[in-house]
Amino acid sequence: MELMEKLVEPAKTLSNPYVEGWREKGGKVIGYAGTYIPEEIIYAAGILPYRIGGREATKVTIADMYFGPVICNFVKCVLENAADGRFDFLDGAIITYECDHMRRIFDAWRRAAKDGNARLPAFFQYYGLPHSRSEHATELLMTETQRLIKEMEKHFGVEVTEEGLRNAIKVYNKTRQLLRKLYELREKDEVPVTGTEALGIVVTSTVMPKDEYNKQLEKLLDELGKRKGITGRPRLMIVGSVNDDIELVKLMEDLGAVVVADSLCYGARCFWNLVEENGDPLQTIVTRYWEHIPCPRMYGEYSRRYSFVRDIARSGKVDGVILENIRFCDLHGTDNTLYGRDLEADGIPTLRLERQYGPLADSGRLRTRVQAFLERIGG
Amino acid sequence: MKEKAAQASFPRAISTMLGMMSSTQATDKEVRGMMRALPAMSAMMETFTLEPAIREVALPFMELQSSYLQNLSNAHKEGKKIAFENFNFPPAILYAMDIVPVSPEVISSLLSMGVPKGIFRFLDYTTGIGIPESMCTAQRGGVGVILSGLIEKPDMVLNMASGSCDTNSKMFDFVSEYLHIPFCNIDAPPYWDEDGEMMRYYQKEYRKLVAFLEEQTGNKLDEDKLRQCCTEAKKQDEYVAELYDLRRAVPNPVPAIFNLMMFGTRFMSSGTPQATKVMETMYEVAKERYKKGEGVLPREKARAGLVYLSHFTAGGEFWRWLEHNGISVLMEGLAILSHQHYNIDTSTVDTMLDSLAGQAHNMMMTKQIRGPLDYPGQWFEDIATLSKDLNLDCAIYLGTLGCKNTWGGIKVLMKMIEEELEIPTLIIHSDTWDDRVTPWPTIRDQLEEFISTVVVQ
Repeated sequence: MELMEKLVEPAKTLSNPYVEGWREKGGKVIGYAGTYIPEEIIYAAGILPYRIGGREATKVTIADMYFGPVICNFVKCVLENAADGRFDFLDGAIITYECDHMRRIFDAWRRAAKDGNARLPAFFQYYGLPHSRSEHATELLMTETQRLIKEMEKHFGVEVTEEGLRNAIKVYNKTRQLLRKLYELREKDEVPVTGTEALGIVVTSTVMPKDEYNKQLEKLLDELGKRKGITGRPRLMIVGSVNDDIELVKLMEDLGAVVVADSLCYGARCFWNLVEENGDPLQTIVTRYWEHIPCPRMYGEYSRRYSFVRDIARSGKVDGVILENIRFCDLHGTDNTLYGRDLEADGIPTLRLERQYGPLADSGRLRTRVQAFLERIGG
Repeated sequence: MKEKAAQASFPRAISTMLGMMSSTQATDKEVRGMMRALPAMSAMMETFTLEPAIREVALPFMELQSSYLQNLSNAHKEGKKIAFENFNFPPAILYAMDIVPVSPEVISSLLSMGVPKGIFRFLDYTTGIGIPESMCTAQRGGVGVILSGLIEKPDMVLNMASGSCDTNSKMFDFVSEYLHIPFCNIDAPPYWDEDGEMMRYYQKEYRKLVAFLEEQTGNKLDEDKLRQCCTEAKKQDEYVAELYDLRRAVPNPVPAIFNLMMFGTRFMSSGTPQATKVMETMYEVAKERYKKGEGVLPREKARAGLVYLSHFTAGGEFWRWLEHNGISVLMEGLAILSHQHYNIDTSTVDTMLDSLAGQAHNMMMTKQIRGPLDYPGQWFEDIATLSKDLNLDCAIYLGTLGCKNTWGGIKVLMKMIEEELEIPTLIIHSDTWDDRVTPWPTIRDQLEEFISTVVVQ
């Protein structure tokens, strides 16, 4: 199998050979949702952190029994995957208050398990998050993280040591630095990696052991340095709601564009910031997660988010930005209104694209909208 | 110039209308005459003014609404700052600092109840500027009024929905960015506790708010003014607690529409003497009934609990219809915890601020839906306590399509209620402020069918 394939294929399914290999050796796996759970603490406990997603779900029949009609389909697909047994390999799961949709998985999954409609991992935790930055918010998050560590240590009979945390920081920072290099390659005039491949590589970083991932990504980056780049296509950036489905990006690229940048939580926002390697390791981990490029769930932070989007758009020399949001995702949907206003004022064309999450149920409509946008920006 | 005139005239026009209604000492015959003359408003007038006991409370309540809008209209002329704040923000602290509150939910509710087609055009306005139509109508209506220039631009944005409602918070975040107004986020911690770590976190958030208000107004918080407001807020809380106790009686002596007037009063004017007057009148009317052994209904067919919202269109026909059909409404989500006495301590500035923080920490929505459904002090526990205490026969959910948090949990919650409290439940797919989602007659039919076939057998 080629290196690229090795790092993109795991993004297409929920389980993958790396997870299976890990479990065959007796390793434990903890699923988590979103970008605010400090993976390093799970890694330091000798457990594989695994980001749960919605891909592979082709229906939301069970999820509709527990969620109302205005709930994001990504969240419904996560629950459906649990109901269909696709997360049966998880020994634990941590649900956090990333948004009002995501947080209710904690209630719905437990209830579905009670009804016999899903298997609940034996270790199932809720991780509370504040919504604005302050000294006392960091303190609260620190307490919440310490509580989570204690629960994990008790349940799995493991110990999270200072040394373990320091090692985890090194490994995770390495991943982040490698992904930054990948994104730097995407800024080149001749782009050696497609947006579809880049998304696959990022998604895979969340579902396989980081030590192995780092080795493979390092090799791949060497290869990409020699690869012939793509030129002459409109350069796009994607901003908005969660997306772990590489087919969405492929749809855009099949129309003749190349996606060279993003501000997504399966994308730049999940790896951009490093953990400070000096100081108390738990404190620096918590601070990094708390201070990283904020999700729209953080209030009063728009200017930070916008600066990031604008800077990435400029360094990627993009011809246009696609502002997408999953139907009912008010957080991204509303921010996209402001991004549209401000990017256009800064001379960067935008397309607002509300979409349904899932196996591209509305791909025809999306194709038409993107095609029209490409015509607008001269593609 | 034209815009300024519109900004002043819109709240003033509604204020004048409410003022006229509240100042009238009309007889029933005269009220009926007014209803014929103003057919568009007849449903609302029937709700508030035909029944003498209700009219007694409705008059000071309308006066209070009129003052709220008049203050808004005069704020900048009088050199006062306007704060854009959520319904779940107890405004006593603002009155103590001479800041004029304006809540989009209050504006949306007033228009939905009193004006034909309510807030439809304002909802459309917000959609037109790009706000997703899946955002909550409670904010979209009021925000549409402000963004379309009918109310003067607020001077600051205060968000107290942080931690309990994303869509509400996001709208406040948006307004601050869209209009370039300073923003203060007061974040509810992820769990609830009365006096532990979470409460301490919230007290710090509340101090952050006070510092922000001082910065925006350029004035230091005045201890005496704060004490006056806290003293009024304390009296109001005591009346709320008394009214809760009265609701436990069978038959219930507290009319359903008092719920609306109770939470409306608190949302607009907690901490003011006018609000105390409304609450006192409400209590006296209900107590008098209780003393005589009279209920709102001669015979209660069922005692209902609304686990979240009610329905604000059709001039408040919702509450009238339920009572007309023998249903006592004992609990409403927006008033769900109003029976709690928060014990406002007026000894020092610190005790007052901590008390107000405690009151805000316990506000409806802020308290119950911030954490997992079955965690201590959360949605299920509160409903279970009230259900047993008030002897409820059924639980009904109405909400808004914007409310992702409750729509994310309501099906699970209702299963818990049915199994653990053993009462029937009904989920209605509707929108409290937007009849275009499900018209009131359809909601009424669903309620009727549920009551007649499931609750009263």
